[in-house]
Amino acid sequence: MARLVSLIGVPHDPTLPIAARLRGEGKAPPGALPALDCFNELRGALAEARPDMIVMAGSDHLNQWFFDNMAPFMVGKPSRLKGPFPSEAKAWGLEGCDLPVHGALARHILKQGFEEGVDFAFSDEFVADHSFTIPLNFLRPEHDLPVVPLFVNLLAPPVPPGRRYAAVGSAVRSCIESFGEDARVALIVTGHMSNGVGGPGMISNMTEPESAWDRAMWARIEANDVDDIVRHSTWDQLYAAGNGTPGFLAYVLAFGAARGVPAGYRKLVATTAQPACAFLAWDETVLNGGAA
Amino acid sequence: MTRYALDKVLWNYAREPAFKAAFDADPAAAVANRELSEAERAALTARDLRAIFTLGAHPFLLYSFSIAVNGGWSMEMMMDYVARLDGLELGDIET
Repeated sequence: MARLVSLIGVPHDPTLPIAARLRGEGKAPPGALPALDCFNELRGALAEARPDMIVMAGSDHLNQWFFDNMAPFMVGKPSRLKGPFPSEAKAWGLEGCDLPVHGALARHILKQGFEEGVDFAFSDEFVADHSFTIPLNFLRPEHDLPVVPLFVNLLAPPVPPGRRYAAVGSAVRSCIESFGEDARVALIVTGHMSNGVGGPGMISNMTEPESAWDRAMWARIEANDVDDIVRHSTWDQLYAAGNGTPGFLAYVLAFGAARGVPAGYRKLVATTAQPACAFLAWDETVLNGGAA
Repeated sequence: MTRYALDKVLWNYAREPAFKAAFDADPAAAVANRELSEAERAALTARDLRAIFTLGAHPFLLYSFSIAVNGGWSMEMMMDYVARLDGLELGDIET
């Protein structure tokens, strides 16, 4: 049976790859450096976990999935995961990715998900938007592992309440652990802390890097009070903290997959360079009942 | 409710070069066959970001539209965008 050997939660802010390029020239905004350092540390943590494949839960910023056909949760099973979209590459100068999809694991998650109570939609033409390509390029720049992309709706309301995201996280873990191959699997999720990208509060982090919402939610994360995290994770509560804040629901999925075990790695980066970023990681020992 | 049609114009503009070219040449003609309210049609054809936001467009679509109008993202473009939305509250964006 397969084993979950790494669980990682990271942001996907498209200004971070720009900052990473500028860092090489000594021109990166100082406020971006702590986030880049976290990505470097977690790249190391992922390498140490020696995964054979990656399951990645990200979103889609109304690039492929639109209001004409919107699923809350979806398994992608194209033969290769390619992205990002041309409009994103143009807007941000993003590098692409083109990775093999682990079709057997994707199909297992889809079918076993039904048994676990999650009716995933599926797509054989799934395209990765920047929420997939940015974390994958930061965390596994070798591009050497097959992936399974999971879409979670983080920005097109209505969306399910937080408890459903937690339940999906737990179900995905069950699906990984019942996969018949003797494989080491990493689960990466990507989302947001408070942000108002596209809204009137878009640059509030420039004057208030850590909002009252960030402080309150981070305190719940530090206390590993998952029930309280879930209770505060409905669309209305998150949207009130900034129109992009429902992106936090991806982290709720990670807490569901962690099943109550606290993250061994927890860093909140709140600077004026970009909206607040959460970096969380659970290693193999912590995930599988060992000491933190 | 016609909010979906409003969102779709923003979505088409940011993703489809042919639609963008048509809209840039003659916005009224480009959205003539869309099921929009008069307020939505007027806001779109004037590229009035504040009015489009107030009508309940999805903020991310409006921002993508604005980035496409600008030909790409820049700090100046973002600051101008935020200034145009100054003082507005978040509202319902369900379609």
